[in-house]
Amino acid sequence: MNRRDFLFSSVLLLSTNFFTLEASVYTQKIAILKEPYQTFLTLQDDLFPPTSHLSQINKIGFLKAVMSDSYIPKSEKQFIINGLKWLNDSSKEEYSKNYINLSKYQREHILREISQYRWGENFIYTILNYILEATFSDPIYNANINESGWKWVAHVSGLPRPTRVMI
Amino acid sequence: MREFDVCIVGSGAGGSPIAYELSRAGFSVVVLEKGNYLNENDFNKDELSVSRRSIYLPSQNDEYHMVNDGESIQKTSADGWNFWNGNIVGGSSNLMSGYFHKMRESDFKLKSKYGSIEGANIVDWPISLKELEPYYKKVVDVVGVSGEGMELNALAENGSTAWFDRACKKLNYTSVITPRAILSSAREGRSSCYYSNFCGSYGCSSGAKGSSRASLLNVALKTNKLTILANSFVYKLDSNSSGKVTLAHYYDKANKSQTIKAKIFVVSAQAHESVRLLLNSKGKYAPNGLGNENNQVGRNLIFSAGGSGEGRFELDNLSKSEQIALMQRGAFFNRSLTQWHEYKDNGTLYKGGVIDFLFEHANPIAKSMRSLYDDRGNISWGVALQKRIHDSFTKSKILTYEVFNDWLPTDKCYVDVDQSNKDKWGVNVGRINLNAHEHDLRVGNFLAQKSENVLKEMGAVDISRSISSSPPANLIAGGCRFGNEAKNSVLDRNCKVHDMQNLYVVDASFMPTGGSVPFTWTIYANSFRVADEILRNLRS
Repeated sequence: MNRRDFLFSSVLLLSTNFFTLEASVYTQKIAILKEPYQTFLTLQDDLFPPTSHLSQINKIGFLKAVMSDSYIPKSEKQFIINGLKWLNDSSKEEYSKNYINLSKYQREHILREISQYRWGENFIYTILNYILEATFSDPIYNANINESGWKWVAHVSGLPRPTRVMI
Repeated sequence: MREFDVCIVGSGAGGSPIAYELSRAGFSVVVLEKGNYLNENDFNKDELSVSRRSIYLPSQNDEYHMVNDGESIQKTSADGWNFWNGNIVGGSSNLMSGYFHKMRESDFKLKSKYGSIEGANIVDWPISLKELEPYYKKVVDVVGVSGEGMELNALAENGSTAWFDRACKKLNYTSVITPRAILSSAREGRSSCYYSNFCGSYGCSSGAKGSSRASLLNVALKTNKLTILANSFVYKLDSNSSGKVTLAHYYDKANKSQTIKAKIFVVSAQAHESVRLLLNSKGKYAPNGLGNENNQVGRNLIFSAGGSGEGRFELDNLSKSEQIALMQRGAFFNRSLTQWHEYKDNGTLYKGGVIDFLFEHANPIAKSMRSLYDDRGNISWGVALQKRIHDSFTKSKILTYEVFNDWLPTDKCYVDVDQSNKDKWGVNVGRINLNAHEHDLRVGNFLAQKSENVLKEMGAVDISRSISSSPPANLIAGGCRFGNEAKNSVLDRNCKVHDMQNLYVVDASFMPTGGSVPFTWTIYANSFRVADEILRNLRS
């Protein structure tokens, strides 16, 4: 079994307190937790840097809400959890350190490496999907703070906008 | 048990004209709709809930279809397909873009005019354009269609349409202003279009879009003869020895089974779901399901063939005034090419189709997602991705086109009921068996080439196309085709089930061929025609 097959066949469940499990909505405050929260915190900025225009985007809060969103399939949530674990596995295999303990150059190298695998490409795509949802969703979902994502690209919202969280 | 003159299953473009006409004629009508009853005040332009989380569709965990793509059979919840379309009162007509093209005479005579094609079950329609024409007009009068030569003026246009018109003139093509089921001026309690820039996929907050809810049901409710029961899923129809449907069984919002009695039953639940209901309505007098004595129910499922393509206009290549025109928000592009409805290629006459041009949807999340892959096809991230996204919003604009041509019916494209998979109510789910005829791709690519010629002449770059045999899940028809003979059709020419006295099917499932246009205008028109037939029956 090669490494890629191993990663695919592994059922690597993380600690269930990664994200708080009580019913959550997009407006709920985030509980700051330990690993692998820190892994995501580093990864989100590597994939979509918090430049001055985008520093307010609440990516981690949005992802936490996604993990409690009943519209998102359980398999997708599990893939996110597994992917973060596999990202650390790859980092340790290459550099004997977790992802967050790598230099910026090393993290970029790991991302390049995993993107060559189907799981890695899918994982990066999935995380970016939710980062972009956070960046461009209506501010009512508590991620696109002060419409900073919309302002960054001069997007003008359609009207009427939602007056309450719809999901 | 409640009793009505007419019981209609489904509140979309098929069922609503029947409800409108019969309630206004004084008959008691009930419409059973699986989804919620939402109105103008309930709609907004929230991409996350409407487009990303699909709040107007059922959960795929609770309700799904099985899909057989020829290689495997999987649940839609697992394979990415979604064949639900607008589970709300008014159905998918709430969410349509309202591109309204009529079928032409040749569409009714596909077999006799263009001949047989091996592997395709092409037939002529049992009615002619002449019979449907008055009802197309009725849709214009009642639902409202804006455009050239219509009572309602064309909608406001983006300034760049002039480039399109110039390009067509140079190419000797005919530019057509696209008819739209959107009010350009207020009428009968509905406001005019307010050019939100977010039309397709969204409910309309002004009532301008000609959904069956806004244009028909809300009007019919004023008669006090119409009852709309939302959150009511009809799962079985009972029939008797006289060939009559006697009862509709449905689950209400509390998941409690209820029944309704009526003189006439009309099924209009979208093509594949109407098939499912007929096949799930087995009984002593319908051992194979309703109308299925000749095993025709579910056969000859069709979609709209074709696909889409696009070209990009870069602001750096335009003058300041051209940039302002192009980046204007809200006003529609509204241009179509219809001259290749039929065409000759290497001396052979082909049935072609129509092409609609429209701007890329303004949804920002979807738009940003398009930048994820770089020019070499690799996924990108970081500053490079951010630059690609920023440029796509601020330095260019994409004009897209959609090709509509006939999806030829084949033996391998059909709906049946999966005997081992059930929805949340324990009702067997529908199984959609997919197959496309290679002829569809040939025609689609011919039309795409014409579209690309225009884009090129307009100065677009990065021109691309996606013409494929992948079915558009929002353009489903067939499965209960109408015809003159029971041995090869389900419905008679008036969309009444052969050999049954009081059961009609009026969504797009009646269509033996699709007409190479979006179906909605034809569904509306045909239902108004059937409504007249039901009225005659009820009065006699």
